[in-house]
Amino acid sequence: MTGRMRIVGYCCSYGGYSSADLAGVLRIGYSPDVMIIRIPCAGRIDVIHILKTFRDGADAVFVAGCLEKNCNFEYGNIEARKRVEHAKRLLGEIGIEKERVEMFNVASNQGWRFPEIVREMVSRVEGLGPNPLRKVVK
Amino acid sequence: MVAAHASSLESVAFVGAMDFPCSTKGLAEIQEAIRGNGLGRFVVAGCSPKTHERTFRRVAAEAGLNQFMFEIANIKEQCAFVHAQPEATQKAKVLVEAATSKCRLLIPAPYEQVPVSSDRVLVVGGGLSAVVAASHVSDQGFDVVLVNSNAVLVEDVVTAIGQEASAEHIQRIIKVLRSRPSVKIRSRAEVVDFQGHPGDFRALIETPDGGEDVRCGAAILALDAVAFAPSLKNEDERIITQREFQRLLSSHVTYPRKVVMIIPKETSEGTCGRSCHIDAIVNSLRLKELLPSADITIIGNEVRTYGMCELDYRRAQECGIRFVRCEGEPVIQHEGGLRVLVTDAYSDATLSLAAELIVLSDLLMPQNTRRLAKIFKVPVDANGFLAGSYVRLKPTSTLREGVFLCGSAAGPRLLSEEILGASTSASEAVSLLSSSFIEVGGTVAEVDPEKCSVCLSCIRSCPYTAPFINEDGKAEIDIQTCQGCGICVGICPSKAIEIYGFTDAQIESQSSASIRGGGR
Repeated sequence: MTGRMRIVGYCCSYGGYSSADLAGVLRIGYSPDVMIIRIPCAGRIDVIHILKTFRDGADAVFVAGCLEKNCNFEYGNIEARKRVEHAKRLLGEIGIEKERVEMFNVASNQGWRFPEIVREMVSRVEGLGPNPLRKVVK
Repeated sequence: MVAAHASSLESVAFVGAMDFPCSTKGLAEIQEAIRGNGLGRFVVAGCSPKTHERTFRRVAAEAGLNQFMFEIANIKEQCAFVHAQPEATQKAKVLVEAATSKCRLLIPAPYEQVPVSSDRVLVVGGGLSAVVAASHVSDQGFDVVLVNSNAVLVEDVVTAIGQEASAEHIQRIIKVLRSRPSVKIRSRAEVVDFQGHPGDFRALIETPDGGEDVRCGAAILALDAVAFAPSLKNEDERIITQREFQRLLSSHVTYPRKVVMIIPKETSEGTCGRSCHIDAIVNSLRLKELLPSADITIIGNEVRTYGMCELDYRRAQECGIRFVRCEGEPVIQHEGGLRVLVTDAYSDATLSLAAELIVLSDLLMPQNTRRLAKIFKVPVDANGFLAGSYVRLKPTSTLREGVFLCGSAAGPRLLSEEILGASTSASEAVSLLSSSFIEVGGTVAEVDPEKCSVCLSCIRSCPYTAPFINEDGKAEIDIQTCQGCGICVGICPSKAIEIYGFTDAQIESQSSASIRGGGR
């Protein structure tokens, strides 16, 4: 594919974001094409954020929350999963592959897990190609 | 290069490059820059906000800004440490650009320091946990109001402890508590209402002498679950429970020669109190010591003796105590000699075991929890046990700040764990009351009453019961209760709720700049 990939990761402050911090401390590298947006809890994510991120030209979006039953805010990660599933359905309706968006659960002490998530999303984008909306939106 | 890119960004008035922004020198430079240039907000490009957010909040406050008017671009852990050059520098530029575009949209967040106005702890319960928690709180110089729904404290102390010496010890603690003027013990009393905020709660207690209004800074729910005999127990006095068996062992009578112990299955009426396997093994070992010729069989679905009790399990096997594994429920025959019929799960053979005495493990059931849970706004699980929050990191906390949890009504536990839990919750309560104020605000949600359609989505989705319907008939979020997760923000169909620091506009502009930033 031409140009760089654009992957946006909405990371909850306690799980995903801390895992990414730990990956940094452990110097476990991952693709620089991923941009991390910190949210207080995965439950803060809104379907509209995911949709607008695709409209802005992202090739993939993921939400990383705490492990299930281990959410710092009780069930924010469960709410987040519902919203990600909803976003998948809406994206499917407009012809964007639903594999481009995913919900992950990761604990703050799993520094190795964040780079794994990034690798997974990168390989999905490699398979799917760039966001089809990019041809339309400049 | 990153600094040069930053100065090219819209509405950036000042860019300073420094080695350690979080050092005393760096912090002074930032303050100077804010004052000198009349800055209204700033971006720090450096370490993770997880480590340094508080430091920069202080700087912002000291420079006369609202302490939430800054944004951190994490160019260390999430950039320099994980990416090679030249990508790292390129990404750092984008991160700074994204943080700047979010920073432009920051709104001063509400912030308050609410004083802790009471140094009294309300302890609810009358069992061992309540007494231990109350004594720990009182030992540290804080007032205690102990609300016990029964007439006496730690009713079942002999059987609960199993050792006379420990029983005496508990009675001594109770005596000390009673002698202290700072400790008020209310027996046959119930908490009927509980309102307020951490540091300043108000409880209404109903005592035999009438209602009493108690102000307290924290509350400890220290209820112990009640042990009861499983359904196999009937009128036959040759069938007893482990607690009765413990009493029998310490009463120096003639000991039974043939004993069958049954560990009942968990039923909806009660759950195995963790100790039901351990009790059976420990008590049969004691009988073996007192009467080495005793013939003991333990019947159960499986043997769960965790931790150091595994050693007791091994000792039990070594000294000839038999274990029979069965899937179904054993049948007790009363006619003629007492017999237990059981199908061995491995051989499928039906064994008929003669017994002088049948000992059943007690089941545990929490009592009174549902009513209390409603008053204290703490959830209960399907079996009626009080549910805490986050059992691994905050084992004694509840979803309601300032209300702590211990005792076996918060989940079955061994006696040693009960005591540990009680002292932990006491220290938690004391450390809350030791602080002079509680910080309120920052990342909290707020409802726009104009947009609110009163659909109650926020009320249903909040883990902390922060939203309520106010006098105007609109949803409102109590900022003292709000923990800032933002679950209600995303769920509100009218988009009437925003959360300070993570508004829709802020998140969207940060993400948009992340994608398009750096001239990509």
